[in-house]
Amino acid sequence: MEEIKIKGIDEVIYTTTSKDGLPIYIWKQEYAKSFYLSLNVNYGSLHTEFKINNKKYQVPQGIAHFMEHIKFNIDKNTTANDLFDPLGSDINAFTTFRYTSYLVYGTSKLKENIDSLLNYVYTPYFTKEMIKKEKGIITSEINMGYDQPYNRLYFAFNNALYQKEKYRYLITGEVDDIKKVDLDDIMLVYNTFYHPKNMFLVVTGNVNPYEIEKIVNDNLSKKEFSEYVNPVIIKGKEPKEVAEKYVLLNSNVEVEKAKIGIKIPKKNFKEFDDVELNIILNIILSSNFGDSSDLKEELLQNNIITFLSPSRFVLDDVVVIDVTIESEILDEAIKRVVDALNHLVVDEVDIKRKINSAIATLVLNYEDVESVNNMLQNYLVYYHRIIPDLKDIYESITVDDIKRVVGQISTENISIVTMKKEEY
Amino acid sequence: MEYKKFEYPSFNLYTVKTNRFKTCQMEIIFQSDANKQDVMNKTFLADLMSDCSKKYQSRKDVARKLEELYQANFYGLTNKTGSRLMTSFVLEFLNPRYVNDKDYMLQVLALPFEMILNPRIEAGDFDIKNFNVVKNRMALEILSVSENISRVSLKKALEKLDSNSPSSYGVLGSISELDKITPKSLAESYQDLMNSVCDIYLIGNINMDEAASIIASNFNNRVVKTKELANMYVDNKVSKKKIYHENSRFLETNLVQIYSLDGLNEKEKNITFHFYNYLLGGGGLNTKLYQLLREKNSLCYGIKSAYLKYDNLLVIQTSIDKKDVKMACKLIDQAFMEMKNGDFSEEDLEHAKENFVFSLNLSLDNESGILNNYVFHIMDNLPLIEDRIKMIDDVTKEEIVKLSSKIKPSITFVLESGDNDGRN
Repeated sequence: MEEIKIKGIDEVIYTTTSKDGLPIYIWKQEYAKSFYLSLNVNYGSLHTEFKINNKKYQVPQGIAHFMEHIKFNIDKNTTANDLFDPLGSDINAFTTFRYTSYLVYGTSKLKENIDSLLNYVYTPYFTKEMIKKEKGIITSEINMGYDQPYNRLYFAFNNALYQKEKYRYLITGEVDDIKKVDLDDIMLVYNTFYHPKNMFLVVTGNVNPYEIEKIVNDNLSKKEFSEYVNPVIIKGKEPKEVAEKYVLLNSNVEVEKAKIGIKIPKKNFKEFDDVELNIILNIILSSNFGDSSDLKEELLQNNIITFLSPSRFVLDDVVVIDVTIESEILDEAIKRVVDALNHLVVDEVDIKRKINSAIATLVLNYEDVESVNNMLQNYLVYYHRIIPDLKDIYESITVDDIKRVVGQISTENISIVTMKKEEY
Repeated sequence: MEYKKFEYPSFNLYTVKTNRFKTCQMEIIFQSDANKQDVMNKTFLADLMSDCSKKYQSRKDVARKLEELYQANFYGLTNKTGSRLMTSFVLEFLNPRYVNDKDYMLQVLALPFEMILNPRIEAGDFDIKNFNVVKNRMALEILSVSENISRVSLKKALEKLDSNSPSSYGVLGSISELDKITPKSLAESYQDLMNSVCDIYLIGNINMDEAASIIASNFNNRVVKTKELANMYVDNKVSKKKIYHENSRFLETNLVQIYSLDGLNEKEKNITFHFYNYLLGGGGLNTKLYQLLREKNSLCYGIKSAYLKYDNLLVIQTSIDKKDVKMACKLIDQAFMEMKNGDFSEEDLEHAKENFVFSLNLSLDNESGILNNYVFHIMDNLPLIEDRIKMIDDVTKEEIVKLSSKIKPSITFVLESGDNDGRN
């Protein structure tokens, strides 16, 4: 068992790997009444093309999410609920672009909960009937997504931005994709990706790390796993150009909205790693578009916008910065945001206040079992490691670093997606 | 946990000292009887008062101050519980022990009182710039509701119940109600707020005597008023079940069923009905509604029942295909019939109890959960979480079955999907 000490805030993450190769991460919080378990698979909606021993495979879009749904079945008459209801625990699961997570939230019977989680996720029971039934439920879920304007805007934006990245596609897949899912696809995905070596377990709560390790090893030793096939995900290189500069969505929305995004080659920021780059971009965006910025106040007070929120996304090949707005005078608001992206401000006082405040409150990253579990999942999926030295990273960031990053941000590759009221 | 009450002439301070959290939370709650226009006024007021004051003249200034206070958070919100309107101001802040600033507690606890006691009112009017920012934001929030099928459908269904019942008053109201609010009328609402019943709740691991003394010195100039407030519970009895259909442009059809609850005693309100609701549709994935509509008939992605204790209502809501409405209603009736016939096992009840204990224990893991329960303990004699856990064991199956006779169907509301291509 290795102890990763989180610098400056007196917290420890325990980590080990089970005998079958499942990495385990544990955060002990002695005052917590509850515990939170997440068994995560490094398999998400992006991973629909892959190679095993140089043989190429392609599965329908949305299959990771489909798998998450039918994985709840353990045999013909038993679902995961039947295991957890007697324990009084809550279970859930979700699928993202990059991974799938199976969750348990409990307050007692830790061993039984861990055993049940491992038992149901590692029991492959799939039938044609089950797949047929689930298609109706997932179709309803997809249609619910179409009833959500922000969901439509988000994926339209991704389609405008990316040429190769599979972030263009709905995590659920489209209804036509779901129709294609069959038993062979499901078995292929399960056998390829649901292997301890392609997964990780995160446990947070008032737990004993050594006890967790023993429970997991005892459980997995009773299971048989085939050799891990080391699948390689096939992925196209994302060009620096956006797919479409301008997209108009007509919709019956009452509130017109837009997403304005710029795409920058990641090699422009090669002096920074992903963690540093995310922090620096966050400071820049908060300083220019956050609640404490002059711009947001001016746009709000002059009724040019009613909502504004920036975000950033660091991918393998490109970095994306986007600003989401709502406005009654959308075109004017877009002009102002684009202008602001072209003239980003570096206010030293503002930046120092944000960095000092972030350092002082790092302690809050380790407050409750659910958010710590989520944070560790994100670290492991996006950075492939726990980050023990955030304090050092924050302290090392200088105003010059920020100025150099700002110097690389341009609106040369910009995409604007607007959602306007439908005319009747 | 150590509960303590501090009595002052114009307010009471209730504190909970616990070492479980690294943050502290303070909630200042003003209470009044809900009337339709006042709900909207107070929502506006809470928003505006947390955006600016005489010292911090805009949201930007407040945001900067909050960053200086180590990312403290301050916001206002309005909540309608049964017939009671609660306008709250919430401050979340880092425990001073983590901060190298000996005046931190003094400074952070002073902020809410600056915002509450020194609003930007000049010559009887609220400052127009900030007023307009909040008005625009609220207008768009109101319009956004119509983009969310569940919110639209539930709002309409509650209005069909009785548009004069406080249960139907939305905290956001309508655009025409919003247009009636002026900087002057809002300044009058402010006076009304200052004259209403107020209590303060504080949780954290701090010296509560010291905190009480700081609070008292900041909040010492309020007019002392004692007002009798009406019973919080709304009587929503109806004589006959009514069915309504409306068309919409959404892709899915939304079904809302409302049931009125008649004559629940204290134990039924606080404990037993939670189990009824859990088994019917409020619990996990093994509830009667979920099993009948989703698992056995694939009609929907999800279905939930919600117990609105202070409105004496039970609400069921789901999104389905238009052609499945009759079938869904039939299956919902079947679920009620099964509850009435006691068609659930002692084991199911045990699972519900385990889950209820889990939920209550979970509340003990977050400050809001503990504080919320404490608020209702003071206002409505709701037993403290620790005591509620002890009360669960003696709930019997017979007591749950008996509740069936106290549930009367009131409204079936169907918001039907449109005939367009469904993309809203």
